[in-house]
Formats: sequence, C-alpha cells, structure tokens
Amino acid sequence: MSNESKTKGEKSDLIPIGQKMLDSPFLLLTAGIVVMFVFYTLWGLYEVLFLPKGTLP
Amino acid sequence: MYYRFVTFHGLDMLIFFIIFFEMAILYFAGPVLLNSRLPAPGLGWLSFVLMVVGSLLVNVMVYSGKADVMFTSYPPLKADPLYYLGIILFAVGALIVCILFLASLAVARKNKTYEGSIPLVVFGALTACIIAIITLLHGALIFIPTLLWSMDLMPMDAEVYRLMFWGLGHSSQQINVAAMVSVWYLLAGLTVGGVVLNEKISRMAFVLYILFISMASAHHLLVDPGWGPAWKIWNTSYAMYLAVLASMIHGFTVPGGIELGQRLRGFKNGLFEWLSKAPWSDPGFSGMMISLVVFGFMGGITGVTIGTEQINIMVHNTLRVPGHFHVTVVGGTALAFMAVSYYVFPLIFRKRVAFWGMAKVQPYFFGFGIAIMGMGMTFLGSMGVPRRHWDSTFSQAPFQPPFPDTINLFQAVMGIGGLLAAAGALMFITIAVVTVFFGKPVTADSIKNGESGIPQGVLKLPAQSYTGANVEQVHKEGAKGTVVLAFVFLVCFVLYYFVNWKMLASIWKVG
Repeated sequence: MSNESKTKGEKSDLIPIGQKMLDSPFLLLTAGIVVMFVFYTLWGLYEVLFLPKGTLP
Repeated sequence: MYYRFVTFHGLDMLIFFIIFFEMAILYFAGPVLLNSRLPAPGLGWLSFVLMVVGSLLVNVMVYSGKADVMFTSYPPLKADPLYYLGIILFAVGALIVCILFLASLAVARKNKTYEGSIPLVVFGALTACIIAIITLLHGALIFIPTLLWSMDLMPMDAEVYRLMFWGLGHSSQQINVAAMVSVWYLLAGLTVGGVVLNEKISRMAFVLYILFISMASAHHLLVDPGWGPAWKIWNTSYAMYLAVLASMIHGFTVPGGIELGQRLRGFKNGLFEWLSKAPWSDPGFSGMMISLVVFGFMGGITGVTIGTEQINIMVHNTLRVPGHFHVTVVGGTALAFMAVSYYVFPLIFRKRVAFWGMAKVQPYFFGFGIAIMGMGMTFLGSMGVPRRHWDSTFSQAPFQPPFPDTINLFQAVMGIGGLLAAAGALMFITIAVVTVFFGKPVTADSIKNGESGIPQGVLKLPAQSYTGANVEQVHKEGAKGTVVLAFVFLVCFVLYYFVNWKMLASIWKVG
C-alpha cells in the first residue's frame, strides 16, 4: 500500500460514522422511502383494505 | 365555472409553478453550486418538454370543461383521461430531473469538485429531491390506475385513492418546505453574510424532514372513517412532530445565523441592531425575512394546531385550511422563491433587475397581502365558513347556517389581502419577464458604479472578519436577539394552541 492511499484511508477513518451516513445520498433516499412507505402507505393500505364490512342493524 | 377555476388555480399553483421552480433549484444546487458537469443534458431537455407538455395538457383539459374535478380529483369525480395523462407526463419529467440531480452529485464527487461533505444548501436541495421522489412515486402509484379507471378499464376504491393521492398532494408541499429552507440559508449568506450556527444540527434537521415530513399527508384523512386512531395519531403527531421540530430548528438557525453574520460585520449593539440595520430595501433580504416570519409564525403555528386530530374536527373543510396553506405555500415558499430570483437574475442570467424601485416594494405587497388574506381566511374558518363552495354563505340553501355578521368584515379582510397579494404577484411577473428578456446586462462597470437593478449582496459580497476581539465577543454573546424572538414565537404558539382547545371544549360538550 502506498503512503498516499494509507493517508486517504486514515482520513476516511477519521470521518464519524454519522457524517458518512449523511454523505450518502442513496442511503438517505432509501431511508426516506422505507419510512414513508412502511408507516403511511403500507400500514394505511392494510387498514383500509382489511377493514371489516359493516353489518346492517 | 367556480370549480373550473379552483381546479386551474390548485394545479397550476400547488403543482406546476412550484415544482418547475423546485426542479430549477435542483439544477442550480447540483451542477452550478458544485461546479460539476450536468450528466445527460439531452435527458434534461426531454424532462423539460415532458413537464411543459404535461402541464399544458392538464390546463387545456381544465379550460375545455373536461376536468372540473378540482386539485384533489377525488373519485367518483371523473376527468377526461388526457387530464390524468398530463399529470403523469409532468411527474415523469420531474422524476427525471431528480435522477439527474442525484447523478450530478455522483459526478461532482467522482470529479472531486468539492471537498468533504456537500454544502448545506446542496444538502437541503438533496432533501427536497428525496421528498420529491417519494411524492412522485405516490403520484405514479395512484394516477396510472386512475387513468385506467377513467377509461373504464379498472375499478377505483375512493379511500385507497385518497390515501395514495395525499402521498402526492401533501408531500409535494413538503418539497416546497425543504427547497424554501435551502433558499433561506442561501439568501442569508448572500444578502448579509449569515453564518450557519451549527452544520450538524441543521443537517440533522434536514434528515428529520427526509424521514418524517411526508407522513403529514395523513392530516387530510383525519376525519375519514377508513383508518383507526393509531395510524392517524402516529402519522400526524408522534412522527410528524419530529418534522415540526426540524422546522423549529431551521426557524431558529436561519435568523440566528443572520444575527451572528450581522454582528460579525459590526452591527452588535443591543438586541436588534442586526435587524434594524439590515438591508430591508434589498428584495432578496426582505422577501426572505417576510417569508420566514409568515411561514413560521402563521403557517407553522396554524399547521401544527389544525393537524391535531381532536382540533381538526373543527377545522375540516372550513376556510381555515386554505388560510393555513396560503401562508405556508404562498407567503412562505413562493415568496422565498421570488426573493432568490432577485439574485438569480444578476448572477445566472447576468441581467440587472428591471423596475428596481418596484422590486424593492414587491415582497412587502406580496408577503403582507398573503398574510392579511390568510388571516381573513383563518378567522372565517374559525366561524365555520366552508371552503370549496361557490357561495360560502349558502344563500340559496333551505336552511341558514348560524354565521355571525362579523364574517362580512373578514370576507373584506380576505379580499383586501388577496388584492394586495395579486398586485405583488403581477409586479413580480412583470419584473421577471422584462428582466430576463429585455433586461440590461450586468457588467463589471455596472457593479463598480453601483448601478440600479443589482442587489447589494451582488454589488459587494458581505465581508466578515474571522479573527479579533470582536469575533470572540460575538461568539461569546451568541444570537441573543434571536433567542428573544424564539420565545415570542413559543408564547404565540402556546396561546394559539390553548385557545383552540378551549374553543373545542366550548363547542364539543362531553357528558
């Protein structure tokens, strides 16, 4: 391993994990889509599609 | 005719105008700010054509009377299939722009056009892009089946439509919020040398938007019988309040950054010299500040309050709802976009702003007009006046709703505010069209001579010092003026929230 790539690796190790995550647009995109679809869309679809039919009195 | 114009107004304002502008922000925040190559410019032009054709198709259908379905187009109201096709074409075009923006981030990273993390303004634009993708996915998931339904090729469940539509309809307004906040940060720096108080906090606030703000779509379904309280309360309260927290963070860090920037430039006397000595005649600055106040104080407070499940029952289908979204989308987002345009004209188009005297007052007309109109609508809604009805007094109905006479006063308030805002909008359109197509060019001499039509932030970039006794003192004292304003905001918030619960208690007697 050359000195240059060593320094690069060391620099990368210095970046906190949280910042690395924020620097990844595709991770953020995935997280945004998953949270919205799980809590709003899929949960909402489940509730409305499996709503028991009302019975006449 | 009334419903035709409501349809036209809703789609052109809430979808076409605002998303066109947001896509422009993505091009600006990606290739321009990161100084990188735009990947596949041909695809960019294709997306532009799709968006223009889609929006024209929808407008033609609405004007020809084949789509009197309003913005929401709830089934069983059915429009001409070309109306839905127009929306799909527009959405596909916008989706391509989002993909191009993500690709431009990858290109910039590969070509090392920036070091470390992307700048905060670009991060805000990335947030807007992600919310746009979430929005457009919901749009595709509902409008493709609706197109087939309009051709009698498949059935449509009204409740499923409402759920999926609001994944598009409300989330599209959250693209606005993220894009608007990015514009605030940008203008704070350009106009008065505003600083970012804390990069980590501001970025985390944007992440809260990415994760939670779209779930606020459930607000529109709070009175629907199809969903239980757990789904409603989770989506509109617990999770969504994290997005509200994000807005409150930005609502503090933007003016706090402006205050610190101004103090670093020497305006450090008392609590508010940084405000009194601010460049209020610069439409970029005044527009941003009015947008911030109207969005935060009026839009934010009303939004959180009427999004509360119990209070929502008093608000549903009254004029309080449009009162809320006119101060957020129009007084907040549209005004912020107008404000940044005054810097885009000289910096991107290289043109001096035409009718400079009119430009200086335009944000005041538009911002205060919308604030007055929104206030009128909110009071009318509080008295039970309905929205989306051509005659809100029900004059020809077999029974008369018990409206107090004061509604006439607030109808007038709404009308006066609307006229002021419309005048401000016409001023902006005139200024923008004349500047872009016939404006005088910005030259080195025109900047040197300080000629009119060039905002003060372009004439002379706000200079700051980073060392010395003044800097130490400013950092030690912090943004104390903004802290006072934040407490004023919190008092208003608590009072408004309490008054609404009190109103609910007085009209909804239990036991």
